[in-house]
Amino acid sequence: MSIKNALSSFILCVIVFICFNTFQAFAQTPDPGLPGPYTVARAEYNLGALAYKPADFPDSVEVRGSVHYPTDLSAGPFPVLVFLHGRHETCYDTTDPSNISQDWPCSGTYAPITSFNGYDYLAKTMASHGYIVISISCNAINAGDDTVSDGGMQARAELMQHHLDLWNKYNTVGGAPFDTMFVGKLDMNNIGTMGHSRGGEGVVFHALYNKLLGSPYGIKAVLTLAPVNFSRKVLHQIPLMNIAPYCDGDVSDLEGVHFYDDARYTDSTDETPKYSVLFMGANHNFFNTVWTPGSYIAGGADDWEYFFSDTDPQCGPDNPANKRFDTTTEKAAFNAYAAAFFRMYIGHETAFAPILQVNNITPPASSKLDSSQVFVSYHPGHTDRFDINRIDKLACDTINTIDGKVTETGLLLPGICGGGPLLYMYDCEAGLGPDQKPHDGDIYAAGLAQMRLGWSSGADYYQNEVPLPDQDLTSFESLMFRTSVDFPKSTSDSNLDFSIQLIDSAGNISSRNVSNYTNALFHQPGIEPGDLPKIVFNTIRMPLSDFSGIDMTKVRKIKFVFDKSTKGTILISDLALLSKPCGKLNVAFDFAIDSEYKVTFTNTSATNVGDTIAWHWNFEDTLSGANDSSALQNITHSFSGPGTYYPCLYVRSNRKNGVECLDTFCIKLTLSPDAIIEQIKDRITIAPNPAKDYLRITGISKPATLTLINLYGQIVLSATITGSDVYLPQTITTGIYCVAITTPYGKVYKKVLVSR
Amino acid sequence: MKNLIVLFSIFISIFLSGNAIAGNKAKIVVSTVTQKDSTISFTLISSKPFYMGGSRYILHIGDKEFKLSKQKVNKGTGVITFFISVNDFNGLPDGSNIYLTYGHLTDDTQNSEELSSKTSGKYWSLGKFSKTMLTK
Repeated sequence: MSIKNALSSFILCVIVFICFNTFQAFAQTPDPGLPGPYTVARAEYNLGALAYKPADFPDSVEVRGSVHYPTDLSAGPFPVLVFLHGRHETCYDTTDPSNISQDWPCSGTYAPITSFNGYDYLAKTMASHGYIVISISCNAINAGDDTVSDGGMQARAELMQHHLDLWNKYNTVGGAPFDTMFVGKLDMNNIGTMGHSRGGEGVVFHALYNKLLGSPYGIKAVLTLAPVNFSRKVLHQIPLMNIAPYCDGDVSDLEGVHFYDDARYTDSTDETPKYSVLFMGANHNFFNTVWTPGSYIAGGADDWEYFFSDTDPQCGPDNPANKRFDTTTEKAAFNAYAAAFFRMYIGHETAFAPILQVNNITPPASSKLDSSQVFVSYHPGHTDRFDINRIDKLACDTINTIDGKVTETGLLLPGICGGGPLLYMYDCEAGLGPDQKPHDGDIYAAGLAQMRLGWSSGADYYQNEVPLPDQDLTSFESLMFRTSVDFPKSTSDSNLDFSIQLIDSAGNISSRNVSNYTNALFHQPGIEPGDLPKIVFNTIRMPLSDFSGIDMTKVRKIKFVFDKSTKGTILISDLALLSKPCGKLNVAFDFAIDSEYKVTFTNTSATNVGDTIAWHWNFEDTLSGANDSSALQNITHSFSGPGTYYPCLYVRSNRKNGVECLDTFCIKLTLSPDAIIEQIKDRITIAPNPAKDYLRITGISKPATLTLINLYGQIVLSATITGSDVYLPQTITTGIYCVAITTPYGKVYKKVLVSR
Repeated sequence: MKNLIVLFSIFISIFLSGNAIAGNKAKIVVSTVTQKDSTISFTLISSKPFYMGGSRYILHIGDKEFKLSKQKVNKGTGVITFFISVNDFNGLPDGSNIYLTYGHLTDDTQNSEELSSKTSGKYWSLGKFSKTMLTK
């Protein structure tokens, strides 16, 4: 090959490579963790170590924090994020940083440990996308929170609200130390909060406290990072994401999963989604740079090492084959997933939905993770899903949530377990330590009910029947359920697999392998006694469009067939169908001609409850000027003259699942005396027919009269139509009659049978 | 009495120094049990500072749990004091197991021996309870 040819081939390869990779890039979900277009500035404020006294706390606390913001604030107001760190050492000795203190305020040579600076990396990312990010210090509460029964949670809520009050002041009239720099720059009705560890439960308490105060601030998204969950408060009506680190040495029972589990079915009007993200190699502390050993002057600790073995094959730092995240990866993973969540629910960037909603299990590149290192649970809002089997009652192994029959054949120990004694549900795995079954209930609080499915034959199955009224699945996008391998009863050599079958009323079967959609059926790693492995639930989502060859309007059975792995045991919950993104957005309107060219349009669109709806009418009647369009829900429009028009209704719905939906409905409307009477004729209905005692007349323009004429041409009844019903006197006998309806545009004739 | 305190101090010193070569897990013992007004202060000391993190230390005496506490660092060792009402204290049966957990480590059984085997890294057995532990 000549040099020239070689060069040509190389250039061709480069072009092909670039084209191919460009295509790939377009095909992928965008990466939420990359820096945005804004340059970012940072500032701090400190009103004193004892500047505020929460009502529900014995001590005064500091009012101190940082703010990251776009350097150019001219495009404001910007959405707001508030971060709350967790419980950590409070002070260090500036003369010997190895000496730390758990007191407050710091005294003598001791200075505060600035835990609130530990999430600056995420604050910087978000500020670069146009957010104002506030991170507040919470050392005083940490120093005294175990002296109060709630672990300081209400005090944390009050401190957050105090900071928001302060920022509301900066946003309206200004104040020290920022003067008027932030006036008008914060959108206090679009706020996301993130709390780590005790701060995680703190932000849940805060969202509830803000609601209790009448929602003076718009809390639109709440993220709990490796949180505690002492009080088992349940947050509804606000999108929530929990992050659970598998190698958490501190909150090692991953109790934050209950924020997700507890919220699923306890508010039947909750339109907002819940997420729980499992990071397989993350510990508790590396999310915060100040708590990370070696990256801050004092107080850093590896929480796993403090309590557990250094040599665990998954989480032990001294095991050369461990699968822990290094400090950089842990922060990158959090940065990417937190950014996806906030940019979706605060920034309304719905392009990130696939990352959170398990229809793209490849993590964003900036997270530095692969699809075996992160798993997501997704619980859509109630109008975005249709529950087949919630698995929340003991009877759910025989009858599902939609009253369909549930059957199992050949399964080992099938039944509902895990909800704890309060739900009369036995322990799924009694031999495990509490850390190993985070979802389970205990003697104090109910947990996640689970269905155990163990198999040893390819003929074994678990099946949910779908009753006739619910068999049309065409408005749904995916089948989804949560699951975890029941590791004590499964071998560890490879991921489990099985089939999901949909069966229609004619007996046609469509089958898909679960392994095509997930890596979640893995044998959980680690050997730390009492702590690892852990049973953690993750969502599997399978698009219904992949189930071909069956009648999707008549799906009778959803069947788990264990015909892939020769044996295994899984636990499942939350079998449901996910609605198509815009669900039932049935846009339509009715109309009535009031006078010659005056038409009243009545909006009959059916959208999902709780969505924010915007209407837009356009009548294609340019001569009517500004009246040619309207944003009213219902509208009367006077057309400018005879002619044919195409009035349209555009409905925009900001769904609470973060998706913006748009749908349109148009009609052809001809306005001329003859055309009007033709349209009226088609639209007028008379019922019942046969009639007995009355005639119900719809679709007429008033004033109108009715004349009833028998087969001999005699008028037997004349009446003015005032409501919709005209009553028939007993003198009218059984027979066929002609009904003449006189409207402002002429007469319409219909035939009716009276049957006495 | 003075000799007893000296002996107790020596025991504690030996106990804690032994921990330095015993491994990672902190050695924790009951230090003092005192009363002020209607509150009993039940103090434990540890060979290293009590971890200051998200979970709570919980003192279990028999089937009772006590969570209200305050922790401090004292020259590289840890001190944690649990606050128990006198009424609760007087209701505790002598001979009950005393143990400390980091986190709300309970399951369906609440059996301390079984729990110990399931929560090894976060469970410390502290002996048997007696009301005579109270130093007036």
